[in-house]
Amino acid sequence: MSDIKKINAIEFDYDGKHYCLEYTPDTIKTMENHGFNISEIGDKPATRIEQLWTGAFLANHRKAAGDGIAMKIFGKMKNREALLRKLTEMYNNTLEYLLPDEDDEGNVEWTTTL
Amino acid sequence: MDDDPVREGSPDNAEDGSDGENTVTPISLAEMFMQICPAYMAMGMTWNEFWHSNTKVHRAYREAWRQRKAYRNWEMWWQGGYIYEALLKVAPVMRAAFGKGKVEPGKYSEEPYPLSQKEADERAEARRRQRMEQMLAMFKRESAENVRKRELEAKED
Repeated sequence: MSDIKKINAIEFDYDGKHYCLEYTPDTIKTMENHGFNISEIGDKPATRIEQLWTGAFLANHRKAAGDGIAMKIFGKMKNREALLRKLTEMYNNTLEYLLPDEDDEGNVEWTTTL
Repeated sequence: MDDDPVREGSPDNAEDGSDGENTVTPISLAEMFMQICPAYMAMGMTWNEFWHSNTKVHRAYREAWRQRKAYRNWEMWWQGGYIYEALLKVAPVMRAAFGKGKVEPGKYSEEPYPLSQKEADERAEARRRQRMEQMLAMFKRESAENVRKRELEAKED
């Protein structure tokens, strides 16, 4: 089993409040129900980037996602290109970290006999 | 299995009548989560924990499950030892009834079977190290013995 401490979150302080952005299966489901598709980031960057960013608030800061604070914070974030890369990675890792590791595969050899 | 709830919930069997006008997703992660959810529930997660937890929690459940599996494997190996011993104890009776001559029983496995290739490799490495240490210890013993013999010979001369 690989390390269970793998980080899949972004943390920062804004306006005196600590934020921890992350995705859960439920928030990803909610995002998809609202039409989000990670593969469309390049085709519809304006909409999809906003959804990707605000979606990361749903798990721990749902109110901020809904009332525009999330986008206000986004406007003040540094190095947004790297931030979006990290968000995309986090989004994809949410599924990847849940899939079995190679070590989880069985190890018992078997043969057939006549 | 036709009554598999995961299969019924898969995109191929969608019966919600939605035409997907606004939610067309070639690969829906939500569907994939739905498919792996039962496996996590088998590891002890509740429905809400699975959907609302971050990946750290899922991985902790997986690690706990891996540890349970390893312990169970050890337990089965231990139990096997009792069964093996019991069989050996009745073996003389069986030999007297059906067998000819003395048959040596096979040796019971010294440890539980490895559960992964990684574990098998680690054990092979540990065995290799143990052999090296045994050889080194033997070499040291022989060297000490040779020194002792030479000292005795020198005294006798």
